Amino acid sequence: MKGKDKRLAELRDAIPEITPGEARALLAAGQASLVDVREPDEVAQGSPAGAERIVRGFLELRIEDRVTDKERPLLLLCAGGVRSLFAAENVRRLGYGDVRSVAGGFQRWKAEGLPVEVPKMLTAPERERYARHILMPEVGEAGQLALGRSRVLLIGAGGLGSPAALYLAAAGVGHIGIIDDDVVDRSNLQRQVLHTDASVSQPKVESAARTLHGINPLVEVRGIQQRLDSSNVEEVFAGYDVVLDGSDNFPTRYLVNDACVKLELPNVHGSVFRFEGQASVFWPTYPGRRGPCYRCLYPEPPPPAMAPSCAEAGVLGVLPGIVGLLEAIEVVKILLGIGDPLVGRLLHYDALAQRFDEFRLDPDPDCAYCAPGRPFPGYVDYQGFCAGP
Amino acid sequence: MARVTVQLPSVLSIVVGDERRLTVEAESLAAALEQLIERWPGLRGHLFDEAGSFREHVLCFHNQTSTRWLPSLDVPLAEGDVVTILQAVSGG
Repeated sequence: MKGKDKRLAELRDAIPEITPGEARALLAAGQASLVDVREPDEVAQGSPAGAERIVRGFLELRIEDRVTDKERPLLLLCAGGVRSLFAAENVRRLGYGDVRSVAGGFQRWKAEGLPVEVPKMLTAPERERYARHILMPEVGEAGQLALGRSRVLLIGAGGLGSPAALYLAAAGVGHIGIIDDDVVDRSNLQRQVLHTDASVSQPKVESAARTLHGINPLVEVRGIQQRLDSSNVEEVFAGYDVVLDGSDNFPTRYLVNDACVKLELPNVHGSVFRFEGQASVFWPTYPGRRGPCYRCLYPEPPPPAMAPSCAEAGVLGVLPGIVGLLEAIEVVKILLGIGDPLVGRLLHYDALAQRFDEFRLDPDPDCAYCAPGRPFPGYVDYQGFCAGP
Repeated sequence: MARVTVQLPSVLSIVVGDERRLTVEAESLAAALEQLIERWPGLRGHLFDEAGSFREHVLCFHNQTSTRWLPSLDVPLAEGDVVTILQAVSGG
């Protein structure tokens, strides 16, 4: 008798087995967890509906994050009921009190006509590319798939949009829209790292798409070479999950705010001036906490004389790198549903002092745009609104 | 009198120069702001409009809390408090 067979006989005595039908009944009643421990290429052909999927090689490392109740019956399933026996013994040692192996495995499950689903899975190249994400339980394969299904719209392919776009593409956000009507100017290159010297005079959205495809050809990039205004904003925003505001002027910032409030989209805000930056998330309908919109923070824009632009006053080239990436992190957190977003919080960064300060932001209870129960008051003449008295 | 730290944004450096983090002694937030205006009279127009209301593109924080929705700036200050002025900036 081979050592393997001897060991299997011992395991059959030690580990209780359960039929696929019984396993399905317990799972359907919410009285057990079912974990499919087969390899990704096997699972890609089909897996029991409602099962967790943790490849056996990572089972001990990941199961405690996915199956937290150690008293509940834990049912392990492989292809034929052998690997699940070996796996069960190890999982028991982690403290699971009632571990059972599904007899006959997935072959019998399928033969008995029990419900099967073909889970959307990462391909092998995707698994390789996103390996450092997948290792973290906060992302994992499910999170990476969620990023791949996500659609993020960047307002501007400039100083803030550049770093954000690079990292969102690298992170595997499936669809990135970028709206910018401008062309690349050599004076942009000190901070707008999406573009290269060779792309001077070319449309920014074309240069951006080229760079992003170079980083991650799996990502779909939609370049929109238009100026955002009241007439196109809802059409442009349609279908996106999150908007990242990297615009460089007040009229666009108020327009982005108003459209995001109306469409209930999270508006991830960043703005910079010389050596300082601000970041927040304006999302009044965030389920976790009631926060303000941009208008609650700044009901009116500054008179132009009191608000020089970066073109007039300058900006440290590295600064939008920091602030744009703070925005990108907020986007990824929102898409994954992890962590605490900057809703109701303003992060202020001072590069010269090298310090971050955080401030609490309360919503205006009477805000004409975001106060609950108010009808949307409509878009305004944003150029006129920001031109001062 | 409480000794408090005042932080000013670089967009106001046209008025206050490089002195953007300073210590003042004042009993209230309003008094602290008045001291700053006494020193840099041009600051008044940046913080208050013609009617004397705090400008809507400027934020004032007493420690971490915005003063926007307070009925007045007559807020007592405590030793070690931080008053921060920020302003909307549009750069991107």
